[in-house]
Amino acid sequence: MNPNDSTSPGKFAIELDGVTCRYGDRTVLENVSFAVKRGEIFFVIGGSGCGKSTLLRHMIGLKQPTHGSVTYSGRDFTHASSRERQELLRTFGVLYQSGALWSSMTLRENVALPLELLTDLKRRERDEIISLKLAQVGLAGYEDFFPSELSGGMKKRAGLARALALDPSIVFFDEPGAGLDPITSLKLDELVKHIRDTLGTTIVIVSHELASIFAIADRMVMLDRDVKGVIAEGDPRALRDRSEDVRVREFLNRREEPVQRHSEKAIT
Amino acid sequence: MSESLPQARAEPSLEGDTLVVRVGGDWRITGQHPVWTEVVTKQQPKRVVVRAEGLGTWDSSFALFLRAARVWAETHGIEVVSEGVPEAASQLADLLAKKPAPPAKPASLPGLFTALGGTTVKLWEETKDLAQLVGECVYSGGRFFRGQAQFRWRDCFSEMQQCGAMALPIVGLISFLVGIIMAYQGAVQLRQFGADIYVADMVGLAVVREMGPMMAAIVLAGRTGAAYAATLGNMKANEEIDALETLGVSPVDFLVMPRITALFFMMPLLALYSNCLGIFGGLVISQAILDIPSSLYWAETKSIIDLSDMCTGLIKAGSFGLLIGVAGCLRGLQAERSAAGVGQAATSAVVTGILLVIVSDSVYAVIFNILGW
Repeated sequence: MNPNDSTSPGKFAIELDGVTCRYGDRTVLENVSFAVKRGEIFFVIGGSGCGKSTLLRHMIGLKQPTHGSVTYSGRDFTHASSRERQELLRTFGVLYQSGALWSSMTLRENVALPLELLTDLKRRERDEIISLKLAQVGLAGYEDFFPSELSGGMKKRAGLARALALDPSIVFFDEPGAGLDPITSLKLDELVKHIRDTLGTTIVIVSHELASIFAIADRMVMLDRDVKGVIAEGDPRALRDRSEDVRVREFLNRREEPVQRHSEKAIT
Repeated sequence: MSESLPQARAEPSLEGDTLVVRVGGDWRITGQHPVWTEVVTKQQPKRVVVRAEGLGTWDSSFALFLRAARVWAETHGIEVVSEGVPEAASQLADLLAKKPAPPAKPASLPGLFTALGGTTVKLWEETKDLAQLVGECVYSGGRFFRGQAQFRWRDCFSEMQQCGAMALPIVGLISFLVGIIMAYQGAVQLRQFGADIYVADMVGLAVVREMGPMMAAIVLAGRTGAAYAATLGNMKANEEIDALETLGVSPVDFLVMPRITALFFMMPLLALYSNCLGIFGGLVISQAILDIPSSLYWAETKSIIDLSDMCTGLIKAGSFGLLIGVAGCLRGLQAERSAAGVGQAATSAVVTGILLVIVSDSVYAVIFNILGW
């Protein structure tokens, strides 16, 4: 169950190779390639409508890329057989934008479900793990609450507890800071960093919250709507100060540069 | 003229070939303000000058006026000059002048063949979706019998309670009333021939073979089918179904099968219950209006209904349950990720459910007729 299983081949936790995403006739992303190293906090950023969430949906298998492949620890996820796909699905957890807790179940049942369905744990062991996971995200004692009784930040943390239930080696976050106040958002960032530092989990975050990016990101890629792909990859602090691409500098510095606007749509 | 008047004004005067329009006062979009077409009526100048004299505060209404002046001048091919008009007002008028790119032409009414083709394609897509869900349910059933499905009996039992036990009052009431209506209508006709006792035969057969299962199905299509669609639609909007998929749990195993199974088992029971209440309704009316003793009514009912009548009704009820469940879950899973999408899903679940029930009922009528049941 060690997430950093050294027997897994490859240096990269996730590799995207020429991924193209289409909705009907509309191409959202074209030929996207990048790799995420093990144990790093990796951000996928970009302006609204650039295809961040679309890319995430393709990475976690909710949509199938039109071309290209997504590889986890050297194993092809896109073209995997259904059995292999099931195995790979269990290696990662996803925290959805709204938490996506099953509203008809309590927090205990929400975290219990993956354990119940996919492990052979006894009921008592399961209950212990549930309490541990909820304590990890700071929700100890909330086992019997329903999602509707929680605040937005608590829902996200509970969603994170569920995503962590099976000790995944990778956790995806879809806009974790959306709809949260700055302090709650900061605490969530700290929690993410803490989880990476203690469990060595690889973290992929889709977001455009600059504060979070500079606080916890190791590396990032930036997507652009006009290019339909990656326009920058690397350390966000270095990109902010030294990127040659004006769109990247503008985005990361949160300002429009007065001269030689590369594209009017870079920010809007 | 230098004192600022509260009322906005625009006074035209013809000076040779030039029309001078003096504008002044306070221009408020919420108050009275001059309209360009009323300012220029019969004049045919070669040049227009809009001169601001004693202009107080102004807002968009003034920009609209300037814009109207420019458009008018442009259509008549003459020059318009502004004098003393604030630069900002001029810019605002420029902004008004910029017409946004015309939006894509709304499709005009499609021709008969286009509409027919479009509807056919849509119907084909719907059929494919339905077939896909049915296929997935069959696969899921296979996994269930091999013990590999993530089927939760706990969920199934709670659904059974929801769609079965909780529906008893409404199904009972409606069936009882339908029994009363049929008996009453039958009594009026049969009495003319002195065939009063055949009310029991008519009500008994109609209820057991048709009305019992049908009434239960229609109530459940409205009650349970819509609830399934709304629940699944909302779960989809809330990414709860995505969360199941990324866990490697099939939504069909986990959400659709318990619901369809619950309906499949509960519908025949509800149909039986509906039969009893329908016959009871007939009995009450016969005793009250036709003075037929209840023992006689009951004996006549027992003599006319045999096991095959009962079975046809229950077979139909079971399949109605499956159809309503499939329709509800299909519409829920197809729902758009929005509040309106959930509403539409619930509506179309009821429509699809009732449609499927009626169509399958007519198919059963033909089959049972051929089999002689």
